[in-house]
Amino acid sequence: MRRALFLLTLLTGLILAFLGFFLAAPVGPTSGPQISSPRVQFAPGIFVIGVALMFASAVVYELVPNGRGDSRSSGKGRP
Amino acid sequence: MATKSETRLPYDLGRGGAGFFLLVLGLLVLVALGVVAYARQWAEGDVVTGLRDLGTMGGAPWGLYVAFVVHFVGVSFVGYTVAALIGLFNLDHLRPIARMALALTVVSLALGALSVLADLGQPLRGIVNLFLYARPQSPLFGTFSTVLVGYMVASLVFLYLDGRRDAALLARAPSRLRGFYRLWAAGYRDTPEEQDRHRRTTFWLILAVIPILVVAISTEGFVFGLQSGAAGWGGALQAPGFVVMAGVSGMGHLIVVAFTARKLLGLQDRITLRQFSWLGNVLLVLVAAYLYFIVVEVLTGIYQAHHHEARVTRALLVGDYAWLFWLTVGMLVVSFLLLLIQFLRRRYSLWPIVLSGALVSLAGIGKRYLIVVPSQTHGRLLPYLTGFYSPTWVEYSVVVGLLALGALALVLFFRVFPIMEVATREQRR
Repeated sequence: MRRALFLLTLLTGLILAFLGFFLAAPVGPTSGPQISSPRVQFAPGIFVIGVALMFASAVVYELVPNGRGDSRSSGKGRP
Repeated sequence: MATKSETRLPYDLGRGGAGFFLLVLGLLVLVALGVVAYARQWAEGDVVTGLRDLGTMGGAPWGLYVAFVVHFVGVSFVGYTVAALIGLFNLDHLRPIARMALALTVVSLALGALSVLADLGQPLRGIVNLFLYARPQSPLFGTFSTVLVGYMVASLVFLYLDGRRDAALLARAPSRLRGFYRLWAAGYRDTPEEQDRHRRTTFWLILAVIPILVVAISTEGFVFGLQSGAAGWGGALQAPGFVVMAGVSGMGHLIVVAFTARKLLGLQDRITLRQFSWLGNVLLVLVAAYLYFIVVEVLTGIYQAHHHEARVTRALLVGDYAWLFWLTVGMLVVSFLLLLIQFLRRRYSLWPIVLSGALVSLAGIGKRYLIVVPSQTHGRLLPYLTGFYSPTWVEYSVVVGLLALGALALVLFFRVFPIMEVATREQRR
């Protein structure tokens, strides 16, 4: 479950970052508004969210327990 | 006031005192000064600053704020650098300074973002349009997405995960901050499996972030280097120069912060000369590399350079910016010599290292100013008259307010969260 959630977060971030990058304004000389405007509104924002999600996947990897018996309800456990 | 049932936490966590409150009050006054100055800039526009358009206005649209954007982002270099030295090269004795390096990184990035906002005439419009219309091929987009978002998130994640173990330990003792520590620990129990998982996360985060960091800071160099129409910015050393200078000023700031923490919190037994000598040696290599870059820049700028390039170099060497240029170079040279002498004698003492750290931190600010401004006032390729830029009290106040805000954030954070690993201290007992 932990690995699945981690991979899901990482892949979602990766896909969003790629989508955001390629849906933003096309790479090339700025010969007109159709070239300098993004293909999809808010595409740079999608890229940024993707990048943030990729790094946040590390938190998922560490915080989500392995299985059913692995409780993480409080910090009372003795280190 | 702590009740009798509460345990005294290490590193004076959760405790005040007259000195602490005076320090916080002083910093708050400086932050308020920055807020007042920025409010004036917001209300009356950039006309209250020394920033003016290029060319016919004879000014520089990028000034002190942009110099500090570059400076703050540069300082942020230190967090993952120290983490990498520990994680990849097993330099465990640097652990006591790892958390303050990471906190310095997070605070510097936040200040860098605020400096960008201070520079924008319409900050809100700038933020919205960046998310809507930013172009991936623009270095500004790269700087924003990789530095201010990717690197910031990565640093926060690293800081959070790195602190979970200490939070779990501190949550065991009754204190006013117990709830906060429990929330941070999020169920961490320091089992071998959790330790192993954390080691893996740390390793991969470092591997992922270091290249991004180098690219990000290089991209910041490209913000200047890829602009046409300005002499002095187009050199091939622009991007590597930014990376090396980031290391110089980052290490310099870390040395100063570590020294301050050692003095204020009485950490002489934890932050020892060993850590400072390591930081000093790393700083020595970086300063040497940067001085080499400066020599190369100046030589190519005066020897058969195009007359526009030569004009900027003359402004630096003997013209309007000569005092700042030579002051900056002087500080770098003095730091280099202090560190080199210690290295050659293999005998280290604290004050030359701390003095070098302070000097390179100031030199970093001076060099960023010299990168940003002279190319705008003296380097235009179009036949404009020589420009002029002098920051006003508004800009100085905003920058002082930002610096105070950063110091305040660090002071308050380390009043509620341990400045270094608690476990190690317990193990020593």
